[in-house]
Amino acid sequence: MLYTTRSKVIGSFLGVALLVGIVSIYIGRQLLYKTVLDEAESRISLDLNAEQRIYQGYVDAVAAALAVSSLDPEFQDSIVRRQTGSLTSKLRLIAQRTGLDFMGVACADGVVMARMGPSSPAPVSPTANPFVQHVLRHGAAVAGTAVLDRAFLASEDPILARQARMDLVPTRMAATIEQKEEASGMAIGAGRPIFEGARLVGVLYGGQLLNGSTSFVDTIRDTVFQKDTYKGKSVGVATIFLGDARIATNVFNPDGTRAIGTRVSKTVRDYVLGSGQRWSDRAFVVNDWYLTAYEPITDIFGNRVGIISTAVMETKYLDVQRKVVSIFMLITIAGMLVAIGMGSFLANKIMKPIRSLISASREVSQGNFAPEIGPVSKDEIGVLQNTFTEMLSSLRERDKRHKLESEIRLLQSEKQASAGRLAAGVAHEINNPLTGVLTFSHMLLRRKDIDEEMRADLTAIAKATERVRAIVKGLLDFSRQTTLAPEQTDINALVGSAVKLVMNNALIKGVNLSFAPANGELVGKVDKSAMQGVVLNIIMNAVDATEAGGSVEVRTGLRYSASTADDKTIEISVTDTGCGISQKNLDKIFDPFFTTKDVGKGTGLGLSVSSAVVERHGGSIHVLSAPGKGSTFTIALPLKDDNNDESDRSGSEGSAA
Amino acid sequence: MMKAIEAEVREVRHRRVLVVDDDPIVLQSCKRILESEGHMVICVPDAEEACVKLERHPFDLMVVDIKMPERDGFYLLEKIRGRRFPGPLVEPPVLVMTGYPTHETLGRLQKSRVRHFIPKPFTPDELLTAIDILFEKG
Ligand SMILES: Nc1ncnc2c1ncn2[C@@H]1O[C@H](COP(=O)(O)OP(=O)(O)O)[C@@H](O)[C@H]1O
Ligand SMILES: [Mg+2]
Repeated sequence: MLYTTRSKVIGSFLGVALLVGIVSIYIGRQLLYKTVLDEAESRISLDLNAEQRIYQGYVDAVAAALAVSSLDPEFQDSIVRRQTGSLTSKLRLIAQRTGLDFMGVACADGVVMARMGPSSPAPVSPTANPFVQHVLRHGAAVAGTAVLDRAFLASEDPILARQARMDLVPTRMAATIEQKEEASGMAIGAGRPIFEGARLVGVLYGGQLLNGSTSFVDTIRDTVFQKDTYKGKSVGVATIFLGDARIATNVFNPDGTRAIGTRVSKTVRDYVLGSGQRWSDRAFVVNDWYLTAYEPITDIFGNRVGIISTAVMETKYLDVQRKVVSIFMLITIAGMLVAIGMGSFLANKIMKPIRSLISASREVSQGNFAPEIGPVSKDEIGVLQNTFTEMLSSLRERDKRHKLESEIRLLQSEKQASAGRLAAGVAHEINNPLTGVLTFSHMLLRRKDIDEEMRADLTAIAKATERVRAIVKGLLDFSRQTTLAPEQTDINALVGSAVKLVMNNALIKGVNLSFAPANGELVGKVDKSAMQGVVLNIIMNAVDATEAGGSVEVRTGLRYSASTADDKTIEISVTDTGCGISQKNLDKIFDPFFTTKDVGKGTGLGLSVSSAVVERHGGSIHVLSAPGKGSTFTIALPLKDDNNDESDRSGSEGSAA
Repeated sequence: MMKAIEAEVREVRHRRVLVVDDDPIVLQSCKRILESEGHMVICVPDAEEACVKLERHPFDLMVVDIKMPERDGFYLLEKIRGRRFPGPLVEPPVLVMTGYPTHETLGRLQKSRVRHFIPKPFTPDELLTAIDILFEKG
């Protein structure tokens, strides 16, 4: 019982803690996921913007380098004069200063006049140079992205052609293609017309090849993500695609090489290159999940030729989320521990007074009526404790009363027992000499030769001796109470025969003696002769107390106890209309030798013997008396279980008949 | 008139009676009463002595007290049960006296098949009537 209360309390606390924990973990996770993702997405789109800016910055730098060079009058002069040798060295110097991969000057017809690359170039069609082509067509300077074919690259510098060439790596989810390698390159560059007066004398062009360039993407990464690393990897990566293939990237393969030649998924390619829109979502890049953004790269002719993209590692965000969730879980566990602690503390606090009440009631059941119940609490349990204490005090009261009563009873029975032993001893001692007195007085009386006076004296002796004999017989009756032989007895018949025995006396005295037996059979287990003596004595007392014309009514009956239907009591009552008993005598009438009757008439042993006999049957004698009006003596005999059964059986037989 | 006839009838039968009691006044009383009726009375104060007398003389009746110091009446009843004694009777009939008839005593008497019993004290008439009843009923 104790443990379940305790575990109930702890259980409810735990339940609440667990519920709150789980709900907050769930909500927190969802909220966090959304926020983090939103944050990451907006960040990625900013990052992509920044990347595009940097890209544009590169383009502008190339244009600026060409513009500055073209403004040099000496350089212009060399072009006008077609001084190839000096031009070439000049170009090499400029390219070295501005970091251009290729640079050259074309004639107005598009044929190259001078270039920074090696001197014996393979012949190439002038249309292969997109920057020159654009300038010639529009007559204005141009800057931007362009795709350069293999022939052009080779003519500019074979090293460039080699740098641009790459194997296309088969990639999951990418569009299927036949192509095995990519030979073209993508470059940012610019073209600038050179005029002498209003006459176009040549076109200055130059640019940087993006393929395989690490500086460009790493600059972007270092600028945008500022060397932000997570678990040894850069958080953000930047990639340039030619078509859908990576040409410059800082996404690494598992083997540590850059993931050049891998391709973007078909979905992204179609979306970005097909519709020219920005694409932003989480995506699996090479070997990790990234939050990515892609934007098309448009070349100087307005064609979508490649993709610029930025990506942020998702793990960083996932780990943040994981960390937060695990913190939430820790908090939940801590909450549960606190719940267990608080629950058991509270349960103890609640149960402590109850437990002490329980042990107190256990002590009470073992007979200690003043057990320790601990401090009284101020709540409902306090009320319980107070009630318990009140109950205890009334129990103590009752116990005290009981003890007193049983002490009195014990004293009484001890008194009676010692009186009985005394009586027995006296009776035995006296009987022998009494025999002598009776014998010789009677023998003397038999003689014919004695005179009247002597006869009268002897008669007096004999009478007095008879009285002594009666007293001694009473004493013996009193002392003989030790042995009873109870048997199933018809109480009505027993009382009836006692009434019959007294009837003559009553008739002579003029007292109306009547008997009203109970209906039906009344069977109890009693010692027949002892109980008859009791009834006889009480009826005789009643007749003695009643004047002529009065009445004595004897009744028998069965009484059911108010509390339990099983408890039944046989009642024999004797009611007289006699002198009654004064209040001060009422306490004494059961004492041995107490009598109000004339000397020789009463021994004062009748009621003391009677009450002892009745008590030894487990019953009691009650007296109701009004002096001058009469008395009622009631003998109450409890029916024991076995008697009960028998009377029940006879009862049911009776009703069945 | 009736009394006289009864006395005569009694006189006709002179019985040999053995009285056993530890108290001399009881012995004296019994002797006085029984001899007044013409019976032959021998008194003994204890059970052992009673046995000695029973060995030597024939008796028609025993009057025995139950409560005696040392050997009591029950001892004597036990002792004489089924024994052959001189005289016409195998075992004389017994009238038991007691000044203290408890349930226990009465029960033991019943077991010893003693049916005749007189409480002390008694008047001469009561004793004689008890003896008459004993012989009438057997
Ligand atoms: N029915 C009664 N009416 C009045 N007094 C009674 C009645 N019964 C008993 N007594 C009183 O109780 C006393 C004791 O009675 P009991 O013990 O029978 O002794 P005894 O009858 O020998 O006097 C009687 O003397 C009498 O005073
Ligand atoms: Mg009386």
